[in-house]
Amino acid sequence: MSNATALTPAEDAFVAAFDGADALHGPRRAALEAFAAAGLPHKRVEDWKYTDLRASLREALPSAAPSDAAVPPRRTIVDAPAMEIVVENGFVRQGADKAPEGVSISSLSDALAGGAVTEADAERFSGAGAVDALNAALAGDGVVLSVADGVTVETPVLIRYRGLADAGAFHARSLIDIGAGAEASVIELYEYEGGGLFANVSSSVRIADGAALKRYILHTSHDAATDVSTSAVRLAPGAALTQSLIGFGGKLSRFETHLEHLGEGAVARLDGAFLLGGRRHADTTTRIVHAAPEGETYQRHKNVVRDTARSVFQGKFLVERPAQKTDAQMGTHTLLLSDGAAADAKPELEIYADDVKCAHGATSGALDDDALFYLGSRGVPPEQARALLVEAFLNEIIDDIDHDGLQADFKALVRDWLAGEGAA
Amino acid sequence: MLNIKDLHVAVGEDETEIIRGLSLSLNAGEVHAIMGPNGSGKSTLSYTIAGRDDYEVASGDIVYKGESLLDDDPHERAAKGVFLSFQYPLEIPGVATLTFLRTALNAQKKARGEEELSAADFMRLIRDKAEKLNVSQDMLKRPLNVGFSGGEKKRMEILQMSLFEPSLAILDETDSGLDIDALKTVAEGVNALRSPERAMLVITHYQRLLDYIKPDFVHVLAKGKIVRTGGPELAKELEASGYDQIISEAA
Repeated sequence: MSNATALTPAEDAFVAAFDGADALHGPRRAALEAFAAAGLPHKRVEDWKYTDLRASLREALPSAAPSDAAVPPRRTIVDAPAMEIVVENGFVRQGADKAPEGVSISSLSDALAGGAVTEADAERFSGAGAVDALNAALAGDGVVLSVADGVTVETPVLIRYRGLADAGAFHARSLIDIGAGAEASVIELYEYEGGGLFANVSSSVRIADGAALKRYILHTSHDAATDVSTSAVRLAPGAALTQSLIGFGGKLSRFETHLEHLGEGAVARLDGAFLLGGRRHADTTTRIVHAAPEGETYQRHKNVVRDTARSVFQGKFLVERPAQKTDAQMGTHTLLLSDGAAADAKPELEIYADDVKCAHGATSGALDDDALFYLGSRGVPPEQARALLVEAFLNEIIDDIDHDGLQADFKALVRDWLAGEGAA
Repeated sequence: MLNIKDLHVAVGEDETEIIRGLSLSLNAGEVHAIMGPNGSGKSTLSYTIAGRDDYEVASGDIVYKGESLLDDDPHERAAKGVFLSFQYPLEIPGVATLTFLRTALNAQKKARGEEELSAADFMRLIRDKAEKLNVSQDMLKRPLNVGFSGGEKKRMEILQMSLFEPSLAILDETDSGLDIDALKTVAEGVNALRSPERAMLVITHYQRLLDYIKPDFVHVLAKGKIVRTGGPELAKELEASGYDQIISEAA
């Protein structure tokens, strides 16, 4: 391996952890080389200027090992029955044993061993950036989920990505395929329980012609944990993605979504809400590529930041020349509840087609004094008034979550956070 | 009920004195009107009684039911029975009107050590009161004041007054932005709340509102103090001769 620049101890440890002894040896080695050439991204890399991963991961972390401790019940009560898969410290601990007709769920390690994932899937191990490349090189396990053409799955598939305190570094990679005309929903819970861990989870999602996928994502981490999640989603003609993300940040937390409208007339709705306190940091980065005509993207992102926490939003719409009649709207809004709270927002539009509707809006500010006085004059005490206004700010996102159980869970989590109990 | 003693109030960062030695007494059961030209300090007076925090009381006192209000926050004053109907009621997107009303009523009850209302009891109460003020169920379900017309916003203020049953109600320019029909509806709502236990302070620029809400006393406010006090006939006199003459006579 040739390195122009010296690697940090953490980067060296990642490179040394490479095994690559499976069917994907070739693409994994290429991904490792791409990672080694770039290293961990840092603030002088444009896409990471607000989120310095290299600074956050200076020390080498051991590779995580599977745990045999009992998996605790999930904190959120999802009232609908779900097929639950647990990926802990990067290893699938519990598979779904009751997948319905037309749904196939397995672990990535089994899929590789059994020949269900082969070198033909190399493209899904190429990496969208250095961190995803590192994941492609090192991820030995994850979830492989596919829904057959035309199948409607009523029950959501629940994937819990867990990281135990002092687990070390782990990389999990999931492959999700929704067949033509199929409909499915996935609940992804990210549960990182302490410091001494770096969680690197990637998802390669493909939604075929006329298929629909709903992703409900709840990200809860620890104020000493570092994690990056990367999703690469491809939309075929007429495909639909609805993604609702609620997160509470970590020492450093980044959620990247790379979405490509490859087919005509696909629709994507991306909603996100982050509540950050203490010294937490959460970065939401999205890159939406419209490569085909008549695609629609509606993105709404909200942050509530208090203490000395920091929110980052980087959103890019790239509308390529063939993508005429694209309708793409982006809004990002941040409430700063404390003097020390900070928000960075970088909305970007890059448009090469001439007949499109594209817009973005970004605001940040404190709660409205007039509204607080009005509520006070009606007898609502200041703390309660602030909570009411913050909930109101987030309701635009949470009220549109069309899964009743999750909507109630999310509202309860927001209330706990506002009451100061939500270390989440 | 309310005793304002030689009140001086400064507003804003430059601490401009807006209220300059205002004294006023209201007894239970009385309706007082305060009339004055723009900039005389009418809204400053109403915000100061309600306790807005950037309205600095430099000297004097506001005594309500025998105790000074000056150290109380707005929500504490509300729980004690002070109510301000805003000239420009706030729109609060994302907060359903019903949620807001129930939260506010129960917060006041809790502060007074009274039992809070259950959702069912609250719904019965609000349905009855809303109907009397021509406030539709649809309005109650919408976010507070969002997309309401001027008349709807003022009816919502009076609905709150009927719900909270304050001892002291201050109506700040309740007639502004209302056509004659809306004005009548609002005035009927206010008149229905007149009671021997309640004092009302009606602040207005125009005499028109006082045709519908008949005051016991009329005060003329100019440059931050009351320059003349009289009966209902004073309002007619103002309408006929204008503020300039009355104020110059008083000076």
